[in-house]
Amino acid sequence: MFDKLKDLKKLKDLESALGNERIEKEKNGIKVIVNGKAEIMNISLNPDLDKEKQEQSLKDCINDANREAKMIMAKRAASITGFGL
Amino acid sequence: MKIIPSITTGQGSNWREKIKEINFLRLEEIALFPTFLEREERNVLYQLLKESRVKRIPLVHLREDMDVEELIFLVKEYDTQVFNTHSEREYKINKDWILEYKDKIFIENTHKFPLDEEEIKKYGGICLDFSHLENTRILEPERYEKEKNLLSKFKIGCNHIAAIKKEAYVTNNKKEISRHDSHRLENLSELDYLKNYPIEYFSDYCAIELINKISDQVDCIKYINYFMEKRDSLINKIVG
Repeated sequence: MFDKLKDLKKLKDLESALGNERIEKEKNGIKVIVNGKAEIMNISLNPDLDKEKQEQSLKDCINDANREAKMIMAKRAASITGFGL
Repeated sequence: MKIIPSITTGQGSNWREKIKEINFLRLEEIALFPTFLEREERNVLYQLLKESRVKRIPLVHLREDMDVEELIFLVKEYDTQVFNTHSEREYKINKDWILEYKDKIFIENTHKFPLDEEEIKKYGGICLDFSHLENTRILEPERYEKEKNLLSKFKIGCNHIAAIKKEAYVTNNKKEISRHDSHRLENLSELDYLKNYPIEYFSDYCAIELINKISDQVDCIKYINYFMEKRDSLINKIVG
């Protein structure tokens, strides 16, 4: 039972660590911030860009940030993956 | 992601013994690295494969002396799905391969030549060799960042998996290059670096590229599948 509680704590710690991570990507004045769970935390647009460029840059920023978040998730989860978890 | 054992032919790899082992273990699916076999020896290999239990060879490493008929033979007889090649800067590419199988050929990140965006466009995408990538990450951070960027732009059609040594060793060739990646595995923990790469980097055709016995390779596959399942179920618990 104590092992299960320990595992649960590790899981909670991982969740909290990922939630606290910040990954920021910027392109053509557009900025996207996601956390380590790939949740979007903030988006800043650039009103000087035309619609098409705005959409493309936003898409690129989100994709880049999500990819980096997935790398971080893999590394952090790997560091606590043992026989229990 | 699917990981398969391989017949490798490099220094220290006894490919004839590997075929015997494949028969003993009743394996029907393998990957093939005829990298060090001249045409005559490859003919012997194909004959032995014909007499073996092998039914499918989804991944084959190309050699510059292979003509397109050899590729067609592999696709027809063994349902080969992907081929991997090195950069044109390393060895000659047969133009007929591209005409016939452009989308089935994937270019590998090798030691000598970093991935090149324009070159990748000529093929189906990238063959990601994890141990070469990890070696790059450790020893050439700038190149690693560039290659990571290319990995996000192109399809990863196949993978090679080998060992990473904790301590760098110096290769025996004249240039004395220090490296961590190795095709000889001594301990399963030399595969632990794979845990750090996201599942998106693993394709449907991951070949174990080790000179070790097939039974060792099968142990590697069990080990990798076990920890990747554990890791990814943990991630799923958190991000759903």
